[in-house]
Amino acid sequence: MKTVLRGENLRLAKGDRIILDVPEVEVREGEVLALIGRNGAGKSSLLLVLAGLEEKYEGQLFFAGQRVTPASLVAYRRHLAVVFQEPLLLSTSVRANVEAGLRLRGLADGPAREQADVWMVRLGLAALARRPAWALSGGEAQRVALARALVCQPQVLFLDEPFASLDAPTRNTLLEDLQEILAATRVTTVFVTHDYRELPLLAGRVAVMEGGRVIQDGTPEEVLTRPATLAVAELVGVENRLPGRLGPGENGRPAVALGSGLKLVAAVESVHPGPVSPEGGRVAAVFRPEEVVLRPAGANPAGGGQAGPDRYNCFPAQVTRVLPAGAQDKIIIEASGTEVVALVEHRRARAWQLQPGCPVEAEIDPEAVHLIPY
Amino acid sequence: MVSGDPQVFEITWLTLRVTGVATLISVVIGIPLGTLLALRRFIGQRTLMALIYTGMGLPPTVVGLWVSLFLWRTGPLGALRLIYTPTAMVIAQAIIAVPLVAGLTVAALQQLPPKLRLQVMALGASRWQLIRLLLREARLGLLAAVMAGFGGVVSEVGAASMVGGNILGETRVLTTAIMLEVSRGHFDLALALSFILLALAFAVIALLTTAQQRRRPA
Repeated sequence: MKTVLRGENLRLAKGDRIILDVPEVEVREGEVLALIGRNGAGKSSLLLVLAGLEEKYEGQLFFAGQRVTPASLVAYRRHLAVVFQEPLLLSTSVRANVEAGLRLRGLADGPAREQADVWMVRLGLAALARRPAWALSGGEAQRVALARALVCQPQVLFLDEPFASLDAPTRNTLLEDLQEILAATRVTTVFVTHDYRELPLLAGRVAVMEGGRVIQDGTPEEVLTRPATLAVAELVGVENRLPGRLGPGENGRPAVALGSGLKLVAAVESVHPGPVSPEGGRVAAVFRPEEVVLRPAGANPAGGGQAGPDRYNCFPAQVTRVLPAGAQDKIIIEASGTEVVALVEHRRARAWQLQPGCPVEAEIDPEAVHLIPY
Repeated sequence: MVSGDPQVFEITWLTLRVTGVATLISVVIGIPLGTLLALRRFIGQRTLMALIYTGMGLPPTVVGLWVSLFLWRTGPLGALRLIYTPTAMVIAQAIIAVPLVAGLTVAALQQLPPKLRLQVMALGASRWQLIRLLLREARLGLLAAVMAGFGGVVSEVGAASMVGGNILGETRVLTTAIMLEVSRGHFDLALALSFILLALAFAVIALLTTAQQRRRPA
């Protein structure tokens, strides 16, 4: 894929504090790049620098191979569009808002109107065209902001946590619409989020940021299942982060001995980053709660868990807590003094009468266990 | 006025002219100055802001005194022969109104969402398009600034009498006329003039308020 946007040695400081330090970043044509990180990780700062909206940065920015300079900033911005967390609509009608970017580019009434109509229809805003912006709901306003960005046919679309301030149903509907639009238009997109659940829905590539740096760059699957650090693991919802030491492997697979005596076998290429730690080295076994297969003690293992004769990571445990989490229940179990978090469908948990004190059997596929030296 | 006294008409007309021109000058200077202070960062900005905010509470008599000293025949600008002319009154009143308009312009622009500026830039606005759009977004606050400027000059009496001299047929305006009639004990006439002044102020402010509130968000 061709590189549309490239940043080199991007640094940004606020006072004495370096808030962005990215030696190299590339955005490729047609990809959806997600920037994820905690508050203050530098993701919005990187977005602002890439979008030409932060002028006090050090480093170089190249768009379509051409260096972006202060003199070319306005022209550069006209190839882009940005949607922020707040809709930031102008205090005029919906139509005028959607047409705003086109007008600033000097487009005449007729073509501006036609192009705005296309996106207002597509985003379900046609009936609201004459309504003043201040009379819109949060979801409607964010749709207008999205239409206003897309109508400019940007070569790169920047989305800075566009759905963060919306209620869950509105956010889900907008996410679905955005998914369809991005798939249909194939517009190159950079979006900032702190919600890891949005990654598999939208992103093709993920850059995880911490302390102004990109600390992991990979596909959503890689980031969600093979986080680079314990902090990344925590950020992307990997609730099981069990400290231990690298022990003797099994059939070529690395294994980690947890302090409690429990031993977990991991996938062959599971240690990240770089070479496998020496035996006895400190590692954390990390795995997602949805990878823990639970069943009542003594139940038939069919219907879940590993197939074949080599079954690893099967151990008896006891339920300590049951926390409702929507359609699923979060089940906290304890095995030899180690707490493990599992997710079980609410319906199934009820049928099994899972409650504190219940004996259960847990199983974790080694392929789902990732080891992080620490 | 109802009885058609030409002097009252003359005084009212001069009041309108002086306050109108002073307000216009304060808008022409105050809005760009306020915009500059709100949107740009430069050395001495905070000092200038502090001066403007101090100027918002400037006593008109102090302005009148300083303008008189400058325009006095022996003063630095005495050669211009502006003392006791409507022009001198306009100058004094504009000095009173400029900080009001500039200060409230800063406030109006700074009350806009902080990221709106970035959003407008992201829409592809050039520097002038950005300023124009932000001023349009702040129009409610800007009209309030204009109203405050007009209110400041239309009600002002100290500076107008000091630099204008309250000369009948030349520099007498409604406020100075009211002051004079009260000192003469002509309370009925002073009261009538006060009603004219109030009506005048109300008409102008009502006009600006209508413009301001027409598209006000609920």
